Amino acid sequence: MLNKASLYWLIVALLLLLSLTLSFDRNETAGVEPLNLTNHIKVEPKFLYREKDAYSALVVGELQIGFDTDNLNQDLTQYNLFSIEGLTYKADTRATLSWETSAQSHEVPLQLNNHSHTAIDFNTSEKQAIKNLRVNIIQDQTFGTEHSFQDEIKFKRMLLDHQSNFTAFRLNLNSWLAFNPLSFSAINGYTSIDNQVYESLIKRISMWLLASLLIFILIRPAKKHLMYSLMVAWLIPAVFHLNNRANQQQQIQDLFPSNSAFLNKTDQTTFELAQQLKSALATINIFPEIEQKIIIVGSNDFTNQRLVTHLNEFNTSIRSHFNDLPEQLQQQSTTLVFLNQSHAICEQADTILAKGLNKVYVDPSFCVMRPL
Amino acid sequence: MSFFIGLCLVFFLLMLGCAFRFGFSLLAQHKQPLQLDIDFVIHAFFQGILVLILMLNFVQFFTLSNQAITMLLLLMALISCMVVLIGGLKLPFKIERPDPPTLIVTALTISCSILIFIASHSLPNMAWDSWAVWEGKADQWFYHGLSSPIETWENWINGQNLLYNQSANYPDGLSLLFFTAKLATTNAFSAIHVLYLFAFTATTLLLANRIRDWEGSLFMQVFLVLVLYTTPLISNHLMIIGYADIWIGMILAMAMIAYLDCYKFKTKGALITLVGYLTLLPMFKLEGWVWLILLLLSHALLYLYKNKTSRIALGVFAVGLLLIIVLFGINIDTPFGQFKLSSEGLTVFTLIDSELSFTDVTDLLMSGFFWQNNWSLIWLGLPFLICSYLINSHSTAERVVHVFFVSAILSFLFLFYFTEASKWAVDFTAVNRVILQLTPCYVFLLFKMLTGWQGKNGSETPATP
Repeated sequence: MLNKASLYWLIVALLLLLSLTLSFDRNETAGVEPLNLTNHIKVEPKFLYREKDAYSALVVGELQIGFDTDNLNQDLTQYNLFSIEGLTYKADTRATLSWETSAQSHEVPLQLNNHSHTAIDFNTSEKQAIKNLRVNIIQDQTFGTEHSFQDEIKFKRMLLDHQSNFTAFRLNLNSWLAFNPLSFSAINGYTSIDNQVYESLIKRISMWLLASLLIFILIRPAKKHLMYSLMVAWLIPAVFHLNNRANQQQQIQDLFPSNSAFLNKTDQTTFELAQQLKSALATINIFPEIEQKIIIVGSNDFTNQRLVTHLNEFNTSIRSHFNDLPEQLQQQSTTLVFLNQSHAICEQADTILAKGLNKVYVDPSFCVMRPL
Repeated sequence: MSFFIGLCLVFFLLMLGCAFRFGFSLLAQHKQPLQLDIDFVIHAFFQGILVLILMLNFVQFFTLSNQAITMLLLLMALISCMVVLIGGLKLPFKIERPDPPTLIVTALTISCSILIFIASHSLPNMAWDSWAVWEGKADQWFYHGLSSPIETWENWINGQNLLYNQSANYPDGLSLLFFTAKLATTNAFSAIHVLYLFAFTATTLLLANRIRDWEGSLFMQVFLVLVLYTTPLISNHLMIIGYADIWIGMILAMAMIAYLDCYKFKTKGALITLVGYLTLLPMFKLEGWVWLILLLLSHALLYLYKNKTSRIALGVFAVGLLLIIVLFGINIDTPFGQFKLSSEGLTVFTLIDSELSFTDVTDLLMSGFFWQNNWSLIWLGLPFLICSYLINSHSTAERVVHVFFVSAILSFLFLFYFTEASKWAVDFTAVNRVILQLTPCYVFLLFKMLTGWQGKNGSETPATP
C-alpha cells in the first residue's frame, strides 16, 4: 500500500510527464515527408564546400544560402517547420529564413542550436509560388569587439519538414535549449516579443503546479512535499535559463577581451574619432576645461552619445538641430563640432555667417566652428 | 587587480559603516552587549554607503581636487579603523558563531555571486543609462571636479562653469559610488561590479537569515537563495551591471526588514537603521521617492486605522479627496515642484507629467511577467500572497509592509494602464525594471508566507537591530 507521500509523488510525476509532453493545437497532418533542401542549394562555390558528412559555409558579413525552389515538384506550403541538422555556429552568428510570395517578403529568425527546428508559416492561403527561399547567415557585429573577419559555419542538412513528424516535447525542448544571445536590449527582456520560446514552458509548468496543488489538497501529504514540488517547478525553467547563461558566457568570452571598455567596433571607431577631435581642438587652443563649452551638433544616436562619453574630459553636450542653438552663442566661449549629416552646414557660408560663426578647423569627418 | 580594488572598496564601506554603528553605541554609552553577526556586517555595509554618499554630497560644497578627496577618504578610513578599534576595546560584545545551516547558505550565496562575476567580468559597461548617466556623471566629476554642478541643457547653455548631462535631475548616489571607484582605479567598472555583487550577496543573506529566524528550514533558505539568483531578470541585472534599479530593489528590501525590526525592538538603533535605508531610497533613483512616499503613507494609514474615530475621519477624508479630484482636481506648488491631479492629468514634481487615458497593456504585462521567462514563475505566487494578507493575522508592522507592497503594485499598474508610461511597456524597458525594484521585497514576502504556511512561523519578528 502506498503512503500519502509516495502516492502524491507518483501522481505529480505522471502529471509532470504529461504536462511537458502533451501536445496542444497540433495540426496532425500525417504523411508529409521531409524535403531535403541541401541538394538544392544555390550559393557561390567558394563560400560553401563539403567535408565528409557536413557542409562548411564561409560567412564574411552575410551569406545567403538560396534554394532552387523552381525545380521542386513538392508543394512547399504543406511544410511548417524548417530544420537544420548538425549546426555549429559562432557567438556572433544570427540566422534567418526568408522567402517571397507574390504579395510580400517574409523573414523568420532561425533557432540557434545543434538541431535547429523553427516553426514557419508560408502565409499562403492560396496556391502562391514561393520564391527566393533562402537562409541568411549574418555575422552580427553590433555587439562585442572580437569578431573574426570570416566565420565558418557547419551543418549537415537543411530540411523543410512538418511538425507532425516530431513529438511536441522534442520540438519544445529544442526551442527551450536554443541560444538567446546577449544584446544591447538584453536587460529589458530575455527574449523578444516575436520570439517567446519560453511561453509554452511557463504555461506547462504553471499548469502542473496548479494540478500539484490540487492533488496536494486532495491527498494531504506532509506540507514539505508541496515545497519540493515548488522547487522542482522552479528548477525546470532554471535549467534552461542556466543553459542559456552558459552559452552567453561563451559569447562574452568570444566577443569581449578582458578589460576592454569598448562596446563594439562602432564604439572603437568613435573612440578613434574622439582622439582625432581632441588633437584638432588642441591645435586651435581648446583644452579640456569647464569654461570651454563644446556642442556636438548631430543626432542623439548611439555613436554621438558614445562620442560625448569619450570626450567627457571636455565640457561637452550634444544637440540634434543647428537651428535649436541659441542666438547668444557668440557671447560665449562655445565650440561647435559638426558631424555626419550636420557636416553639410560647414559648406553653407551664409548660415555660418548668420549665426555669427567662424570655421576654424575642417576635417573629412568633422568641422569645428567658433563664434566670430 | 580591479577585483581586489573592488574588495578594498567593499572593505572601506564596511569600515565606514562599522565605525558609524560603533560610534553610535559609544556615544549612547550602550551597556547591552553588541551582537556581532552577519546581520551586523550587512547593515554596516549599507550604512557605509550612506555615510560615503552623504560625505561626498558635503564635499561637493567645496572645491577640492581629486587628490584632496582621495586623501580625505583615506583619512576617513583611518578614523573609521580607529573608531572600530576603540569600540572593540570599550564596547561589550556578543559574538555569535554562525550555525552550520547559516554557513551553508552563506557559502551558497557567495558562490552564486562569484559565478556571476566569473561569467561576466569582461563585459564592458553596456548599459546605456549607466555609461551616459550614472558612470557618465562620475566621469564628468572626475575630470572637472566633484563640486562642478551638472545641469540641464537650458541652464548649461545660459550659465557658466556648469557641466551638462541629459539626466542632470537624476539622483547622485550611484554616480558617487562610481566616482569613488574612479579615484582608486582606471578600471572602475570591474570594481563596481564587485560592489554590486557584494551588496546583492548581503541583501540575499539578510533575507535568508530572516527566513531562518522565522524558523524556516535550511531547505527554505536555500530555495530563497536559488530563486533570487536564478530569476532571469535579477541575474541579468547582476551580470549586465550599471543600472540603479537593482539598488532600489536591494534598499527597499533592507528598508522593509529594518521597518519590521524597528517595530519589534523599538530602539533608537533600529530607528536610525530604518531612517538610513529610507534616506538611501531617493539617492539612487527618482522612483525611490515614490516608494518612500508610499511606505510613509502606508505607515500613516495603518496607524490611523487602529482607532475608530480616526477610521471614520480617514474615510470622510478619502471620499472628500476623491470628490475634489474628480470635480475640481488638485494643483499644489511645492518646493519640489508641482503636484497636480485631476481627471485629465497627473503631475508629480519632476517624477511624472502625463495625461490620463487608458491604454491596454495587458498583453505586454503578461509577456513581461510570464511568457518571456524574465521572472520564471514568481508572479504565480502573487494571488496566494494577497490572499494570505486577508486570511492570516499579522502584526501592525507586517500589515504596513503588506499595504505598501499592494499599493506599490497598484501604482505600477495605474502608471502603465493610465499614464503615458505605457509607452515604456512596449519595448519592455520600464515595465520590467520598475517591477525589479519590488522583486527582492516580493520574494521575501512570498517565502515568509511559505515559511508561515509550513507551520513554523512565530508571531513575532525576531531579528537583530
